[in-house]
This record gives sequence, C-alpha cells and structure tokens, in this order.
Amino acid sequence: MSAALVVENLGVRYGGVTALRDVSLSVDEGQILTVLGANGAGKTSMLRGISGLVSSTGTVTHHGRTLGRLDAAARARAGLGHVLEGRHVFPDLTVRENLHLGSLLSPKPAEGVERALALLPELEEMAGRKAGRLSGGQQQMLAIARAISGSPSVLLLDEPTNGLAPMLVQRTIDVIGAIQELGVAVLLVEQRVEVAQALGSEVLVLQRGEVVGTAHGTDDDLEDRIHTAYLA
Amino acid sequence: MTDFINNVLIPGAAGGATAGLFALAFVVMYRTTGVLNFAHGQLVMLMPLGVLVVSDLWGLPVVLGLVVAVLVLAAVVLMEERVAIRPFVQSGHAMPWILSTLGFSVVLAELMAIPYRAQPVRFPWGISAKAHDLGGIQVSWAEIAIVVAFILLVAALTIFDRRTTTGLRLRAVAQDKDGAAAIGISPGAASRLSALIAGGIAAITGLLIVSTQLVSPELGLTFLFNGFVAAAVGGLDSLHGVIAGGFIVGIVGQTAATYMGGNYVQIAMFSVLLVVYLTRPHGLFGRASVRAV
Repeated sequence: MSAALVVENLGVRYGGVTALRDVSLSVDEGQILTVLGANGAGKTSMLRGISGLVSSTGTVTHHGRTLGRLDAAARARAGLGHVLEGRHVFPDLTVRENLHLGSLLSPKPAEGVERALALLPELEEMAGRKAGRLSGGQQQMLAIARAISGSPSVLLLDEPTNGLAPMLVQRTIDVIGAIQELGVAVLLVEQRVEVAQALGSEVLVLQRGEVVGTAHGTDDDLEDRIHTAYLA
Repeated sequence: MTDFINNVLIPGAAGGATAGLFALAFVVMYRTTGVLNFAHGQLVMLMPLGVLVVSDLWGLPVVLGLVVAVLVLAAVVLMEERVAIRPFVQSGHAMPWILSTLGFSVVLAELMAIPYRAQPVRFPWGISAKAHDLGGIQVSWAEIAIVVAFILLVAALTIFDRRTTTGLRLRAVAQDKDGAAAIGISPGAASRLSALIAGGIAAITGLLIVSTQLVSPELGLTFLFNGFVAAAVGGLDSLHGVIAGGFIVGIVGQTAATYMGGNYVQIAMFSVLLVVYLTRPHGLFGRASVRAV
C-alpha cells in the first residue's frame, strides 16, 4: 500500500495561540487512522490545516504531490474530501442538490452520486427535501455522502458520531468501514474510543495540540491508555 | 383614477424599478460575500460616464464608447472585489467592509469628477423620456424600459440561480462558505463572479437612469439609499424579494411626494423599512437559515 496522505510537522496558530504543533502522520490507501483527543486537543484544527481551511505550517503531501499553498477548494479538487464538524450541509438546497454539487468533483458525477447512494440508500427517499429540514443524523449521513460523491482518494472525517444516537453511531461506523473498502484513505478524528475499537484502526492520541501516543484499536488496554492521556 | 395612475403609479413604478435595480445588485453581492457594496452608486455612473468620455470628449463612435466603458467597469469591479471586499468577507465584523467600500466609492467619485470637472452632463444617447398619451395615461419609453429591464433581469437571474450549476454553486457559497470550499467550490471565485454580475446590473442601470437624469459622479449616491431600503424590505438574501421591495419603495415614495411633498419621501421610506424590520427582521422574502440539530 502506498501512502495517500503524508503530513509532516503540521502546525496551526490562531493569532498568538498555538492550536497544533509538529504533528506528523501518514495514511495509506484503504487505511483508517483515528486521531483521538479531548475537546480542545487540536483535532479539528489539524483537519482544517490539512484541508486548507486554515493556514498552517509544515507539509501536506497527497499521493506524492505536495499541496503547498493550495487553498481548500483546490485541495478538494485534488482529491482531499473533508466532512466538517457540524456537518455544513447547504440547508436551503435539497438533498439531491447537495449531492449533485459534491459529485462535480468526480470525473463522472452521475457515478459519484450512485456510489454515495449505494453507501447510504436511505438518502434516496429524502432526495427532494431541503437539507436544513433533516435531522442531525440525516444531515451527518448527507455530509458523508456528499463528500463520497466527489470520489475523494482521502477522506477527512471530523467527529462524525458527535451528537448521534447509539444506533446512528453504529450506522456511521459501518459506513466508514464501507468507505475504507472502496480504497479510500480515511483520517478520522473522534472523542469516542469505542469508534476506533469498532473500526480496529490505527490510533494517534492528540493532547494540547501534540501527538502524545500511538495505539491500535484492537489493543486491550486502549480505553485505559486513552483515559490516562485525556486526564494527564 | 387617471390622475393617480399618472402621478403615482407610473412614476412610482419607474422609481421602484430604479431602486429595485440597485437592490438587485446589493442582493447578488450580499448573498455570496455578506457585504453591502456602498460603492455601487459610483459603479452605476461609470458606464454612462465612460461612454460620454470616449464618444463626447474623444469624439470616437458610441459603440466603441460602450465597449471601453464595459471593460473599464469590469476592471474596476474586479479591483474593488479584490481590495475592498474579499479581504473582509470572513472577518466577522461589518465595520471594515463598510469603511472599505465607502472609501472605494469616494476614490471613484473623485476620479470620475475629473473629465467634466464635477459638472453634471446630459447623456445624449438615452431612451426618450418624452411622455406619450395612451388614452389619458401618460407614459414614456424610458419609464417602460426601466420597469421591463428590472423585471427581466430579476427573472433571468432567478433562472440562472435555480437552473444552472453555476447558480447552484453561488447558492452553496451563500449558505456555507466552508462547506462549499470543502467540495471544491472556491468562495473567492464565487465572490468575483457575483461582483461581475452586480457590475453588469450597474451598467444596465446606469444607461437607463441617464434618460431622465444628468450624469454626475454623485447621481448614483442619490439612488443608493432607496436601493438599500428596497433590498432590506424584500430581504437581503432574496432575488425575487427585490421586486416587492423595489415597487413598495417606489410607490410609497411617490405617494408621499405627490400628496405630502418631497420632504416626506425619505421619512415615508424609512417608516416602511422600520415597520418591515419590526415585523419581519429578515425582510418580506428573506429567510433565517434553517438548520436542524
């Protein structure tokens, strides 16, 4: 497997505040890497730095190509999908229109929408509804489907289970597993340890903007180690 | 009744269409950037002034004047978007863009005052403002043209907005800039395109209003307030809202002018704005974004 995404010494600052310092990671094609961390650990800043939504220092390489000063839209066009925290669907557009816009990144937009709906068929029956009228869980599914419809080779997922009912958390985990099977490299940030455990993914632990440990989702003592890191 | 039509309805509709054209440009720009372009009044004057300079001062053909004026207007619009609007789009504060667009309008007004030394000039190629009698109804081609142009422009932009992928992209940026950027839609490109569309509206507006007005750098400013009220009444994020906003502003203003006197026009308009804002803070057709949680 070749590295789809390589991040080296990523740093993000907001004015005088350092949100992320010297974070390095690598995600292969068809691999899931989960970054766990408490609120304020820098998880969202890390994803936003990688996708270009905030300015950052360090290097982001996508399939061997350094993204450098490309802005967020250009990085998305290069194949870097990003499902943002808070979903960010277009509330006054229908589900169909949201998917159509996402699919325009795909070389074959119709196939992109088909792939997304195959992954999340429940969206088909709400195709004509305004996205702002969907429940939080449905919006989350739409946000994931919209990103997938653009055929990204790397998908950044920002706390997709946040605020979801347990049944929907399991559905989200299944969907992420299915995305991995498509060969997409997934960089997932989460607060829930059980998501990393369910996916059996590689784990990085982020604390106060720095990587403080690595683990694997199948490690027996993962939960204890994470809690120790959270409380440190 | 004929008096009411001649004194209120027809001039009110023409005035409302003028305000509506200003409002339309405001809405186009506001939806994608969140910025109200206070330099729009000067942009409106740029087109007729450009034609005058090329054709009247330099003695070149009017068609060449139109081409040059369009190119100059496009360049100025893109420059304003780059230096006075886009840097402040996501600042989260209104004061920077209020000052930058006002500043840009002052600079433009000073530059536009140079060719004719700030003197108002007649535009000789405008549509006839001579009233024709149609069974007692007095109406001019200039009044008909501005009302028809206004309605057609709103219809065309609404179709563009609803039926084209580019329109859909602009709506996406208007609703969520980060969400749009995350799927490859550049908010900067959307802002540039909106500025060019607003510039196109300015060009048409400028050529229409100089049928009845003298060209001067300050003329656009006269209509700016009416346009702002029309946009706010219709809803700052609503394209079709400008139809209601424009005609309400025009008819109310003309009613006040006819029955109460010219001094009461602005008072009447401000009263309408106040009533609408107190009862519907997002305007008659504007919407607060709906988001389930």
